[in-house]
Amino acid sequence: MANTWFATFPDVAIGTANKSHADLWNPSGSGRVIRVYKIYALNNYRATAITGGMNLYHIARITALTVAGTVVTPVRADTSLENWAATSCTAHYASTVTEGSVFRRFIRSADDVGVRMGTQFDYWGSIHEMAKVWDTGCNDDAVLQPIVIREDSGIHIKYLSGADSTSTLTVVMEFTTDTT
Amino acid sequence: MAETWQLNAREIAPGDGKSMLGILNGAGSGKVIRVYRMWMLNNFTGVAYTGALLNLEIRAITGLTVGSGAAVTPVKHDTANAALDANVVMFTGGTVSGESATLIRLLGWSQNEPVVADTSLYTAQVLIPLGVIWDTGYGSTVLQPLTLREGEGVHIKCTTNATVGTMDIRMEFTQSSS
Repeated sequence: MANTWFATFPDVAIGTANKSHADLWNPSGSGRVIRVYKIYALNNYRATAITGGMNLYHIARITALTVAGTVVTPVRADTSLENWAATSCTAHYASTVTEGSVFRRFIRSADDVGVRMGTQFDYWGSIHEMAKVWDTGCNDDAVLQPIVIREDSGIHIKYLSGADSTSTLTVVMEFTTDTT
Repeated sequence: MAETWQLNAREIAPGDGKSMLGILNGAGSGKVIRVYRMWMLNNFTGVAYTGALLNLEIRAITGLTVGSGAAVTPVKHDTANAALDANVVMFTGGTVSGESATLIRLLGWSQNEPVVADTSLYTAQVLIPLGVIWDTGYGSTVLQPLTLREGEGVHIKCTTNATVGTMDIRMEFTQSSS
């Protein structure tokens, strides 16, 4: 099995339009190939009640990491394997990036998740299976490629626009690193 | 793994008889296209409107030109993949020919803007796992995906006379030589 990692970008404030909410970067010379199998975009907002709104995001390649934001350190599935620093790869949120091709878009409700809100779809955004925004290449699939990140490139989740900027979004990425 | 592509057609307005999104593996490609998954998603962010219930169909086709529509460019899952063959085309609002009389799949859709704190079906349609309209062959060693050989295609057609709002339609497909 390939070295497997879990990166959690917790409770990142929605902020202003075009904010990069989570990025994964494979620098030149790393000698690694990153393969992203799953991405979740979770509405885990549980602070003071807010009016809320529907926010639009997308998943896109990035071709340059111009200004690195807040560092996130992914957790490895097996502690006997190399640590994150050894990969030379990085993860952040609120970075400044140069964007490439867009894989897909999705909408997430930014309303607070309250008790007994089970019938409202704001709450469904906190359920992992419903919050899954990428799973291509997993499910024991031997045919389809996941998102493959080669050296000097990356991906990110960008907040495009929406009706609420006061809430948060939690992004989780499951990925592997390999030498080929 | 096969070379994989993500086709993401955004903000497609419905229309009676409109080919919302089509893909054709044109003659001479020398390739086989296999469609593993499709989604319809209510990624509408414009102003509120009076909604409508839509019917859509997945049907096989043998011809597809841009007509008065627009081309959609798919994205490689791996930048090391070869380029998509030029005979493989994808359009929204394209002009279709050779549509099969046999229906592959009939779809229902609640067309209305998604809103916060809501329990309506049209708001649920923003959730990607609930937007899957085709996944036969995905993750399976038994079932075939939709397999498009040269001169074959497939499209999603709206069959309801309503023009309000928009939707996103997405396909995941592979290109291989056999």
